[in-house]
Amino acid sequence: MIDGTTVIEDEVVASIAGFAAGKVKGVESLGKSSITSSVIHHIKSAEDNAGTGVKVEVGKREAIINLELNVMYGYYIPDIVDEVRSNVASSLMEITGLMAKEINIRIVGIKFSDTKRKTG
Amino acid sequence: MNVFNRGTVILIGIIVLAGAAVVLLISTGVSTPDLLPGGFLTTYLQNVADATGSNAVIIMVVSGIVALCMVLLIVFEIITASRKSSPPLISMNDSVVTTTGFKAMSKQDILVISSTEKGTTSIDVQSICDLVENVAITVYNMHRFDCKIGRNSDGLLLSCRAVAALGSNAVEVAAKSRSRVTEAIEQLTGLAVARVDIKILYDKSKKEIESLTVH
Repeated sequence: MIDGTTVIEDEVVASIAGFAAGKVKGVESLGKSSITSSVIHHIKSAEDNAGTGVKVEVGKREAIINLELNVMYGYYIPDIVDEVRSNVASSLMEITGLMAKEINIRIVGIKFSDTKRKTG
Repeated sequence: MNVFNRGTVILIGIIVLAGAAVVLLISTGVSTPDLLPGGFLTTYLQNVADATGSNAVIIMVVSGIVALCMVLLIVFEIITASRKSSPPLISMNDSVVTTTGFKAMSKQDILVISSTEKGTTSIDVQSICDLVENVAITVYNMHRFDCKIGRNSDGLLLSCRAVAALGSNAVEVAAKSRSRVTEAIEQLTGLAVARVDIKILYDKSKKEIESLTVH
């Protein structure tokens, strides 16, 4: 066995967390919406966008993840965040071996579909 | 889109429009290449002026299309900005909530939904306001809905101003909005709603509504 050190960059952890969070049903996108971010979003590839709206603090064995999510209207937010936490934690453990110590989630937007019906 | 972004888009639009207009003027022979002050970009503009045949046509068409697009972009941005800049129905000093001790939160504030050792879940007040406004206007005869949010130990306090269709049953419209808003917040975020106070205005002309706005 050859000795050596493996360093996982914060960006990689952020990408993994963002990608895992984005896969959860009810999550529309990550990060706050602005014209600048939407232009960047279109220019970057899906993999590059995965780190948007994610901030991480990585230790040797643990990581603290802070996520900013835009959720779709109609989904129960506590269910979405539970699934996001579980998805992110398991992806991190599987891919990097890091344990998610804390996953803080901030809902920064609720996205509505364009069709709204007026009802009595 | 915030004011800075909108301003940036308009500024870029004006610069591109000016560039396209200069190229168009020179390519059509209306102006000479030394149009810009201090002989700026004269060499490049001379190439435009020297273009003949299909090259000249392409330059004219492209610069014309670019100029037209920029005009449309600027007009769109200005119209959108003027629509959004209409005064809010409710101002920060105008509380509809009758509960004493109501203190409106800023839309930039964050509400904590839950906090455990696994992490904190929070939501921007702006998102709750967006939710409330979008849900309330699905009520028939409800035209516009603005709200401020406060919080006490029982849950969220909503102080809202609404514009309903002239002649509609204000009590009924308010009751339906109250019910839908409460249901949406509780069912989607898990946050409890303690009180929803609504002040109804009837939809008159836009000017009249704006004059009714409390500043």
